[in-house]
Amino acid sequence: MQYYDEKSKHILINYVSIFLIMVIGLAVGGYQSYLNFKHEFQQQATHQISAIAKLKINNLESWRMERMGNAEFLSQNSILTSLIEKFLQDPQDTETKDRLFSRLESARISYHYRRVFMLAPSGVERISSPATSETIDPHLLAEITPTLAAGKVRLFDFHQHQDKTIHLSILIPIYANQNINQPLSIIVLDIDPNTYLYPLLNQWPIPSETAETLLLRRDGQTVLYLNITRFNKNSAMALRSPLTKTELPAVKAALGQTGTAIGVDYRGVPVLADMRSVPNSPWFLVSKIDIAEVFAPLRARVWETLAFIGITALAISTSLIMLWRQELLHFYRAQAEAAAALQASNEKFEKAFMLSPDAININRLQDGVYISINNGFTTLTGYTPSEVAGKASLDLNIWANPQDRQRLVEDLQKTGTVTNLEAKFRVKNGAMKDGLMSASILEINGAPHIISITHDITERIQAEKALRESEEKFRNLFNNAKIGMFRTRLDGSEMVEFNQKYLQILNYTAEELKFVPSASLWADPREREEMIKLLKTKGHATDFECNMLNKQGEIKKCVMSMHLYPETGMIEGSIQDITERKMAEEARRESEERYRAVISNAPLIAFIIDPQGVFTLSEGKALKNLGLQPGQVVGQSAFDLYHNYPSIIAAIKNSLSGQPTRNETEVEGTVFDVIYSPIFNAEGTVVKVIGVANDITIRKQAEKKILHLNVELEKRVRERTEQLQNANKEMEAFNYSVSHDLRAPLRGIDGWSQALLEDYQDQLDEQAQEYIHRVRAETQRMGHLIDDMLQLSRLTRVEMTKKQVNLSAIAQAIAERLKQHEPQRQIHFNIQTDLCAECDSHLMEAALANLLENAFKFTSKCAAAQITLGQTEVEGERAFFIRDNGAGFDMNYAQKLFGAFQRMHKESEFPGTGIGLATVQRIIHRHGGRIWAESKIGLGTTFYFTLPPFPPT
Amino acid sequence: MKPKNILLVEDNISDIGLTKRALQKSHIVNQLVVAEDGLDALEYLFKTDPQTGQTVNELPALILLDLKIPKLDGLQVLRRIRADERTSRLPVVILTTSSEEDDIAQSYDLGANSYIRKPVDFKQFVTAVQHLGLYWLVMNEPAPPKKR
Repeated sequence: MQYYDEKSKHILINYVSIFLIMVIGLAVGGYQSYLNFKHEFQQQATHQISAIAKLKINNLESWRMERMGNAEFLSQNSILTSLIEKFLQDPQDTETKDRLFSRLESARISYHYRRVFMLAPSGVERISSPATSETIDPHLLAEITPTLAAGKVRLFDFHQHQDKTIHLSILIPIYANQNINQPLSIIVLDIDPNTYLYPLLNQWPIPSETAETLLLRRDGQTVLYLNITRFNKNSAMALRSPLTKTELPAVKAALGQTGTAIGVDYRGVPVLADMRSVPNSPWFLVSKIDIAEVFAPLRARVWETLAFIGITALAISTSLIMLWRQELLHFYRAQAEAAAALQASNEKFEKAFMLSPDAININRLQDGVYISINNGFTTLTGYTPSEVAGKASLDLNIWANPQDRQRLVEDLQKTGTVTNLEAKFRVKNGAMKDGLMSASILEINGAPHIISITHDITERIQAEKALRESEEKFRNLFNNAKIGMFRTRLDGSEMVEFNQKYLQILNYTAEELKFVPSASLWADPREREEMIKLLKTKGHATDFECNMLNKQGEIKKCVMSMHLYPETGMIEGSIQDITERKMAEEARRESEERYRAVISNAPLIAFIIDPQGVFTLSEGKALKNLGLQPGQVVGQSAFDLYHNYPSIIAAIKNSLSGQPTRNETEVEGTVFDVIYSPIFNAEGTVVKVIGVANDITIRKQAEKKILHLNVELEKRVRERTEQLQNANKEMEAFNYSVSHDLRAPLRGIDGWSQALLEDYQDQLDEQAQEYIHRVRAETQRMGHLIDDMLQLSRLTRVEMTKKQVNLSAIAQAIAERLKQHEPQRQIHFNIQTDLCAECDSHLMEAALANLLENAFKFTSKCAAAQITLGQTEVEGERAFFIRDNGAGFDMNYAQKLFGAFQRMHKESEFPGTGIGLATVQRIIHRHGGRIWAESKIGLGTTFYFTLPPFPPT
Repeated sequence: MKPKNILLVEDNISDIGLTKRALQKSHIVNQLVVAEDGLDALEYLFKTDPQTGQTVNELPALILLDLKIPKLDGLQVLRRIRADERTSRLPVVILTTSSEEDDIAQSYDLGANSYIRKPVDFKQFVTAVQHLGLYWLVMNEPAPPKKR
């Protein structure tokens, strides 16, 4: 029944909608026509108002031209001018005055001037028509001077006199006929706007309640109303509107706007206005009419329209109601027929529903509550209708995955039906069932429901799954096996199946191997025949070693195990590559033999200790030093064997903890240098310690001996050094004595000999005096000897400081000194500049001084002595030389030259101590150099010496 | 006023005689006082009157000091002279036979005013003494004694 109500409501809504649409259409049409009317009226009013405005502008313009033309005529009238001249010459001349008056009067009357009068340039009134006692308004007086200056007719626009009357005046300047520069007077035509202008403006050609015309002039920041307005009788020259109120048409006009516009007038009433400016004047004209008046006819039209719409709407609604009733009747009849048909169909389906072997259930879509279930449902799930009544499928927890229901509902909402959805269900006893489900949306009492049919596929699913898993397991096993696996045929054709490892062993890709006959993979066909024979007789072959060929044709040593299925001729088998294993075995064996040979013959002990400290290896020749055989201690604990040697125990423990260790240990009189190297596995754990013990007993003994010798040697060196130091000290003491003690008596001998000479001169004969002189000379010679000896010995002791020394500079200085010493001598020093050497400057100065003094001495008998210092090369070595052209010596005695106290010449010829050259030699030798001499008697001597460079430090 | 003494510290009789002779030959009129060893020299310089607390001998104008003398050697004597305020400014000329660099350096380090090596040639010796006396006794302006 509810459904029927719904349906009839629906029909009603349709009709109401149609009615509303039509009424709205009417209303819109009516409004549109209203707008059209409104526009039309406004247009009409605008035309009207601008036509009237144009008319008024024309009137105003022609009025102005007329007035100005009239005035122009008067100003250029020479007869009038003559009359005025005459009147001014004699104002008392009645006749002239009358004639002038009548001229003015006739002008006034003809053109409706309020008054016509004449003023002197000073502003004094001369004559007036009509004659009045009015005073002249000051505003007018102010206009006189500008008018006379301009020299032409001027209109003095609307102005107010002191008596509040409003005037317009035309000022006509009159100049003398003979002299146009001489102003005679001014004629003033005084106009009363009330006479013509105001009536003209106020008049409206068609009847109107509100229409009027405004004449305006801009005055500063305001607009001034010049005429009397319709609604304000006092407006003329009094009413003003500020220019800021631009909504006023009057202001708009004053601001130069023209055309028609809607605005607000001085009363604040909305108006339609036409705005114009009056040509050749400061005036603006606004013609306006109230909006209300313009649109007055519109109101009547509105009412008419509304009435039309109302009547039409009423007619429509009546016809619609009739149509609606008709349709409702039809509908109810059809409903009744359908209900009967449904009843029959329902019974049919009810039976099918209940008897289906599959589970069928109907649930509300909204919450999943069971509405109805069949027997099949009870069979499948164990739930009876009373158990599910009022419960939802989720309440029963029947969905193993509640998302499945979610998915079902979503799919249903999308497409309306779902077919063959597989889902898991939890039945009443808790078991899981697989169901294949189809469902559809079913509308019951207007609410959506789900009808679903579920077929039990539990057994099928389980069987499929088991099969799949088994298949997959074996497939994985096959593919991932670490040995090659294959299936092939006995006839040697292409491989049927093979795994990754198989490909890897023979270095093929799967694609390549597909086309390779299996027989061609054998390196030796005889091996294959042997294999086939084995298979045929025994049905299988186990650990069959054979040579296979890989893709590159290299032989791979393999081991195969195979099984033959005689009925299909199919071979199934596995294969392993043992090439590397074979090679590794070989290599290992060789390596082991090699190492064993090395270790066994090496003079050391090699051993391996496991983490428990047990020896697993002990080899090497040095074992016999300990009285052990190779391998004797294997299996024994090092901790037990060496418990008396804490250093060994500590070293083993330390190395087992991962620290490489080295120590020296003495075992039974033999000293070993032992290196313990821990060996780690991949996890970083010590798996063993490899040790090497080196017998260093002999080396140790040698070391001890060397140590002892070193100590001995040092002691001896110390003793010798001491002795040497003592000798040096003695030497120094001796030198000191020589210098001090030997010289003192000499001085005494010399001194007292001199005293003898001085004090006893008169008692000594010449011979005695000569002897005493001899004594003194010898004494002094001995002093010199002592001095030279001292210098020589000192040279061996002073410390040398070597640096770069300019020998030339030193030699030059010595030469200068020598020359000063004996300035009378003819001697030439030829010293090569900038001879440098690394040496001790003090010592070399002494050496050069000795050599140069020598040369100086031995050239003393030469007429032109030459002494040269230079540099040359001797046997590849740099050598300095000092050459003189002096006495020279016999080269036979050259070897004695550098000995102390050795002299080459007689004392009487060349005095000297014979120590100088010994000194020089000692200095040169201390520098590591050599010195020698070349000489020829009478021709001179050359001394050569070398100063080797520093040994680089 | 009597000129101040010259103190000669020297043990060699011959040298003493020659020095005296050299001074006479140089017309140096100052009295020559001779101390034959280091102790004698110091006693002459610092001997004090127990009553007055004043030194007995007037300080000499110049000390000629040999280095190699018995008991205290010349350098030790020089050190004492320089260490005592009364004598620290006295001119001391080392007059010796040694020309060892060490001796020269130490002498100057200890405050010797001059170092003269006695030449063997007596004429040269006379000349040296002459110059020495002329310089130290005539030309040189002596240092004022230190105020106590």
